[in-house]
Amino acid sequence: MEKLFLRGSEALALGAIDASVKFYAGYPITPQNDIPEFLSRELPKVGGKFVQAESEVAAINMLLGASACGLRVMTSSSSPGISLMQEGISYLSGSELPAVIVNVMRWGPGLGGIGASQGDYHQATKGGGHGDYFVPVFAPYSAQEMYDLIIRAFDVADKYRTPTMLLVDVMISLMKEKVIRRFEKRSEVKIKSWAFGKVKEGEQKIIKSLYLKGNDLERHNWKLYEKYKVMCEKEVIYESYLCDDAEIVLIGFGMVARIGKSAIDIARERNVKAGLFRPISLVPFPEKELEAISKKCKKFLVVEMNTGQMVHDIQRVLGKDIDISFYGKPSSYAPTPEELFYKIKEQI
Amino acid sequence: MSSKYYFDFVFSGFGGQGILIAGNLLCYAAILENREVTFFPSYGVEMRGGAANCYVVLSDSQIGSPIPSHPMASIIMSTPALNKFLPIIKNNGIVIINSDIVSIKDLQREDLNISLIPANKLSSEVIGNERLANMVMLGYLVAATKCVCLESLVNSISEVVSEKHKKMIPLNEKAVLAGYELFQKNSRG
Repeated sequence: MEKLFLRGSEALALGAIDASVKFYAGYPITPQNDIPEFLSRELPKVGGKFVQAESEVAAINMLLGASACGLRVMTSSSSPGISLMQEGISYLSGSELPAVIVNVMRWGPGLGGIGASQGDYHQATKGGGHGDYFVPVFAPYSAQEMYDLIIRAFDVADKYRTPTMLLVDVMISLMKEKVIRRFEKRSEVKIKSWAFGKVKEGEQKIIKSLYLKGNDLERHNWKLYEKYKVMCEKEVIYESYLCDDAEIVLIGFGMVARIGKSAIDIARERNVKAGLFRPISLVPFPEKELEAISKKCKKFLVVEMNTGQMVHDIQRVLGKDIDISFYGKPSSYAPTPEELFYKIKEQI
Repeated sequence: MSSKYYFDFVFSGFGGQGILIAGNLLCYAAILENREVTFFPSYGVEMRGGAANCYVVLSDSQIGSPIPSHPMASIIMSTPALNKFLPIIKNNGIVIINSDIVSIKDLQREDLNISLIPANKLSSEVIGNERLANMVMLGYLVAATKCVCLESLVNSISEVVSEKHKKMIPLNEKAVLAGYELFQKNSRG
C-alpha cells in the first residue's frame, strides 16, 4: 500500500477517486478549493467528469441528474455554498439518489469569515433543507480519515440510496499527514439497477420526489425513516479513548477531538482520570455507546468550535441526571490542549 | 499517546523564503524514519510577501494537536516572526535566527538556546546566491535537535523539489550540509 504525505483535502479527493467517483460539480469557495483543484486535474485522467458549475445551486442539481444516471457523484463547498445547496440535498433525499457532499466549514452566519468553525453542525445533522429526511454525516479528524471516510460516504450513499455528507474542519483540510492509500485497487462500482440507462421493452423507470396521490407521500416518508433506523443500527462509528476508568469524559468531533486527545494525555500525566468520546458518524449519532459510558462516568464536558450545537444531542441522549458542561469556542483559533486540560480540571 | 520520541517546531518568516518547503522536507525525512508527522501551514487572508509560518510535529505515536502551544524549537527568518514567536517558545527551547535578515535588539529570554546564523551569507558562499538560506537553517536545526538523521534529510530533498527544478537538488544538499556542519563547528567551540 502506498504511503503518502498529503493535505487533508488532497487525501479526501484521492479517496473519492479510489471510490470511483465519476462526476464532480462545484463552485469555488475558500477554504475548500484544494479539493476541486485536485479533482479538476486528476478526475479526467481516470475517465471522470469535472464541471465547474455557474453556481452551487447548479452544481447540486447537476449531481442529481448524474446520480439518476447511476454515476457516483460528489460536490464540495464551504458553509455559504452548502446553504445554497440545501434545496438540492432535500430533492436528492426525496428522490433517493446517492451523492456525497463535502462541507469544509468556515465561520458564519452570512459570509462570516474564512476561519475555522464548527458552526454547521445543526445544519448538517438536522437537515438544512425542507422535509422529513436524514442525511448520514461523518466528521473526520485526520488526513487518513479524510481518505477513509469519503470512501465510506460513497458506500453508505449507494447502500441506502441517500445523499451523505462529510463535515470537515478547516484545520483537518489544511494539515498534511501520512496517508495510507488502502483502496487503490478497488473494484469498479456495480451498475445500479434502479438508475436510468438501458431499459427493457415496456420497462419504465421513474425517479422523483413529487407524490400527490393518496397516502403515497406518507408511505414514502416512512420508508425514508425506516432507512434511517437501519443506519442507526449499522452505520454508527465513534472512538472512545481512555473512557473505562474516566471520572470525566470530554466529547468533541473533528479537530476538537484531536486536540482533546492531547488534553487527555496531559490530564493522565497529572493523574486526572479523563477520557475522550468522539462521534465519527454525527448522523446516525452514537447514542447507545454514549449511554453505555454514562453508566460509569457521570461528568461530561462537551467542547465545540461554536456556541453549543452538538451539546443539545448529548443532553438529549444522556438526560438531566448527568452533569454536562459546555465549552464553546466560536473563534478562528482552535482551543489548545492546555486550555482544554484546564477546562477538564475546573469540572472535577 | 505518550511517546518517547517527540518534537515540535515552528518555522516562520516571509512568504518566498521557503519556510513551508523547509517544514515539508523535515516531515518527509521523519516519514522515512517511520515517524508520525503533522505539518500545519499558516492560514488566513494572506498576501504575497506577507508572513509565512508552519508548525511541524514529529512523534513515534499518534499526534494530538498539530499546533503546539509552546514549540520546542524554531527557525526564525524575519523580524516580525521573532517578535511573534519568541515569547511562546518552550522554556530552554532552541531558537535559530537568520541574523542576515532579522534585526535583533533585546531577546528577553535568557532561558533559550539561541543561535544566530548568517544563513544568507553561508548560502551565497556555498551555492552562489542567497536563495537556499532556508536549507542552511534547516540543516542547522537538524544538527542541533537530532530529530532526524542527516541522511534521511538529504535523501528526502527530491520529494520537495519539483521535476522542473531537479538540477537544484545537489545545491539544496550543499546548503543543508553547510548548516549542519556549522552547528558541529560551533558546538566544538
